[in-house]
Amino acid sequence: MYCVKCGVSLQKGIQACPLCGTRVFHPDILEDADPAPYPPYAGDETVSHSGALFIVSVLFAIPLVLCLLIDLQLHRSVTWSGYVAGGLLLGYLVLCLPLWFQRRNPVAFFPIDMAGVALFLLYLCLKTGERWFLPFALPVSGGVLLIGETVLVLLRYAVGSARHRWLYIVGGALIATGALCVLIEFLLKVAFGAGMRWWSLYPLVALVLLGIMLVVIGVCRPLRESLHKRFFI
Amino acid sequence: MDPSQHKLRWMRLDNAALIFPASLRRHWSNLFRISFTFSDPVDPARLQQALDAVAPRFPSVCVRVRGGAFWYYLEELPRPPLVAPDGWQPLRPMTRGDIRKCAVRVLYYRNRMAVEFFHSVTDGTGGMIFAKSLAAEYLRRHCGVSIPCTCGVRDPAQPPPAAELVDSFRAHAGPVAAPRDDRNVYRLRGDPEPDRFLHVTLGILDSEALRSRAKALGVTLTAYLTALLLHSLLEIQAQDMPRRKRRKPVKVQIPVNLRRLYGGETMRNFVAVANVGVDPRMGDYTLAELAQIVHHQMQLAITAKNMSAIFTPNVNSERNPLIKIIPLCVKNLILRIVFDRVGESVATVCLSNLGEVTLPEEMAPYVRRVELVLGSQASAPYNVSVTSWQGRTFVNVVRNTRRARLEEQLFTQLVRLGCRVSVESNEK
Repeated sequence: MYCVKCGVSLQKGIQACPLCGTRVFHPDILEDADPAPYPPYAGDETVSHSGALFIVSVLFAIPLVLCLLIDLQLHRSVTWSGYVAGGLLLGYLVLCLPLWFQRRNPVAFFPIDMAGVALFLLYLCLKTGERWFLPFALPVSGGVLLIGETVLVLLRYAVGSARHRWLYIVGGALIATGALCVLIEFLLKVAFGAGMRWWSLYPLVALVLLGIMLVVIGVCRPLRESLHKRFFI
Repeated sequence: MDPSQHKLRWMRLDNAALIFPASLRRHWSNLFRISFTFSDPVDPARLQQALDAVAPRFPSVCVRVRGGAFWYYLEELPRPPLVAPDGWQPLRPMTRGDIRKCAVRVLYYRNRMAVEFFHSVTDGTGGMIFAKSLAAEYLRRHCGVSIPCTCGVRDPAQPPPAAELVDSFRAHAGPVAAPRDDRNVYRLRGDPEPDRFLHVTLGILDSEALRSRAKALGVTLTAYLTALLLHSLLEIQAQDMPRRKRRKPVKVQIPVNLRRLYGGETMRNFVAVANVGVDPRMGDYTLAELAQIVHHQMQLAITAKNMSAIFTPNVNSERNPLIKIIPLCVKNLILRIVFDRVGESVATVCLSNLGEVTLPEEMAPYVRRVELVLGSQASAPYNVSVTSWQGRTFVNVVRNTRRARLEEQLFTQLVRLGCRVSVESNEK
């Protein structure tokens, strides 16, 4: 087969001339393809982001070190800079740590992030000399971790080919979050002595209704298809 | 002797090799590839056996590039590299980490065996000797054929002679240093491939038809191909720059095997370049004119004395005591600047012709193709490499930009001249 534009002879089975891009076609000749001279194109290779991450790490480190130095120079001890440093470290843990890894599985990173949050809260609690960590911060963090990790595990490993299962998972998570709000109000009472005003019922009702709505949509296939037709992106 | 107790050889980089580790970029390294296509599919296990047998014979080729305090050096590999399947991307760049482990790759794909060399290790001639010896050993093991050690095939049972390991540049540097070439040459440009895909377009031509056309103009095949390349480049520049006064000189870099001028059998780099070209501001050139210009420029440039004057400045720099004591990290920066300013900017494109490949008669029936592929330049998108085998000339054009301009001009020009051109490509 020859290229009608360039006149060069082409390898069998080629789709377009490599020189001018003209489509190769002859209605009367059906050729078996020659073996390709190189293995098939497999897309872009993974690019290492370590250089950019190094720069981002340095950008995180600069305010952290500067704040600590200024605080130490002014007060001879770590006072306000501890909050800044903790916040920066927490931000780095959540935003940048996963980027150092090629496989960024949120199931693995979410507990690490929540552990970081709990540690930061513990630091705040100890630094301010108060005692709200064990009765309040720890159970709330634990509740968020439980709900979040369950959702992530189910979304990652239980959805499979039945794509609509995410509706059940998110619906269930919303209902559980509503229950967590009630727990938070109760813990506020225990830890800080606040009265039970039952404000948590409002988010509970809203979240339960939303959760039930998602579950219903998940169960009812015609409704799901109708909504998908109207709201697809 | 226990291999683990074998003392690994190490050697300084030869003069031409010094620039390549310093000029490494994240997505570019100076590589070339020599491939043999056999009549049968390659057996990876046999190829590994052949490599294991041949590697000790070439202690300057099966090496890694390590960094010292002041210079890089080559260190023999403790064990031969592993053969690997060829990927969709030929000449995938070697990173610093890669060359620190091994500066040579042996790859296989269907009937083809390919060896990719980091250019600090050896040049095209040395690479061809290694590839021939590996291919011969593979065929001995795979097909049971007895292949004599002639035509560049080395005997793996023999120890490597000292003459193969010397840096011949130092021995042949002369007292006179030639001035550097003008850097104001035409540079090809194009939209780069976003994923840095390297297009390899192979044009297969009838060697006799090419030779007869070259002979009719009274020039060699290399000069004829260079003239064709210049003609194509002039066409492209004329399309891009209609105003003649603004056009720039077009030059083609031709690597010269210095072993032919000075003798010796080193397996290290021993190559210098001759730049030939024309200035389009002087007017239009016919192919016959270009062929004559290239022929005479090559005759003038490629002499032992002139070549010596070309590589002497580099040897003098290497011998300079002040440069010697500069730490490697600083030297890298300097060499990188030197490479960017004078390494590639003196020519538009490089055309490397390894010529007619000769193989022992016993080996020839098993070999269908022998190809050379040069990697693209760091700052320019194209390079061209040529080999001939059994009446066919293989012209490989590499490109890291989207549009195939040079190869289209070059091959369609050959078609217009009445040559039959078969084109193959690794297009996505």
